[in-house]
Amino acid sequence: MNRKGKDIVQELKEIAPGLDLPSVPPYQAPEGYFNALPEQVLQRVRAADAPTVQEELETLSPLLGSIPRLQPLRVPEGYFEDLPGRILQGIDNQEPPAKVVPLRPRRRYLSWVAAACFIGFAGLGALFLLRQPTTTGGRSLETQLAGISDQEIIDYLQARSDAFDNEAIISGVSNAVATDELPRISTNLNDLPADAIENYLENAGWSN
Amino acid sequence: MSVTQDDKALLALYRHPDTREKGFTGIVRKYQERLYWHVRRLVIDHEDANDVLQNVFIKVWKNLEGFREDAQLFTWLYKIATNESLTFLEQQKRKSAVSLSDVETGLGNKLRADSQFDANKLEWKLQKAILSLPEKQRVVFNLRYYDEMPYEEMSRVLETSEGALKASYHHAVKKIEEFIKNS
Repeated sequence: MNRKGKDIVQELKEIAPGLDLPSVPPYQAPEGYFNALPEQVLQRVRAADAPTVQEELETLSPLLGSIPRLQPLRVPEGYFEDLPGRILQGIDNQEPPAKVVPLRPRRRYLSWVAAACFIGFAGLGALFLLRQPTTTGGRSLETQLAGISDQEIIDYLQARSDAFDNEAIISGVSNAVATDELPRISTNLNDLPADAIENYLENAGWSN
Repeated sequence: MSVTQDDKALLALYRHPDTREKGFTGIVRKYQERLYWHVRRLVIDHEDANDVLQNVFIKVWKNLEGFREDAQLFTWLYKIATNESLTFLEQQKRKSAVSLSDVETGLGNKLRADSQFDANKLEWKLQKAILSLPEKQRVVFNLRYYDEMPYEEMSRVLETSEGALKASYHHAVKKIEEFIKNS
């Protein structure tokens, strides 16, 4: 509210010199009241000018205007009395449960132990499989070879082996000798008597 | 138009943690009947109306914190109730994979299933006539005819111009008149 004009204050002083009245009242208008007032007044003017729903209806359709506005649908007795309670109950049921936060940090070492156990078992299993003798149809290679005669093996090697296989065969035999601790055979020809060598060559068909 | 003093007091109660439920219960008690009938006229069946209305108020509970007081609470509630009702009808359509006319037939069946139904009484004929209207037109007719809602307020609820709403209501009235004359 604007303060009073100077002449009004002067006039008041002249009428009642000792009366020192405050220039503004102690009450206030609600915030935004004056901004909203013109629209509120216009709304009331428009509402007063506009026909009522009934008048509008009678103009549009005298037939419909003459029908009493009855609502034939019914609502169960007492429905509205406990509706707020049912709604609040529905809201409580919808609220997600509070998140549980553990008081102690999770024991991570348990996971590591579980992982180590798994790796250990997997490693042992793999090792066991690798160390198993090679089998074919449930029989080991050695068992199968034992069933074949020496002559058949010699015939096979003579027919199929070449010069490069000799080295591998000799190496294999050497290993087998070392492993099975067969009696050592001297390969130094100087240790053998000359007639023994000659007899061997004759028997083996190498002599001229 | 902003919220009324009464609504302001209820909203203030709702915003305080200690009186939140009290404020909300006050709002439900104040608007439950008007909103129930608005929903019921659209979905016809009481149980359906009850489900929709409870969903409306659960949404209100969740969103009331963000409600701006420069809008009217009543308008905001009607907007939610209208949307929920139309969504419900849409879901019914999708569930049964039937055409719109079949849904209207379904609503007509619900109307006839009412224990009070009497095809010879004018008020039931009027209900059948209202059901023959397209959904949006039905909303406009109900808001004007039963709730006597001013076009200006309806415009805020349905977010449609006043002119379009007036035209829609006029068309609806003419169709209903025609329906009743021919029935």
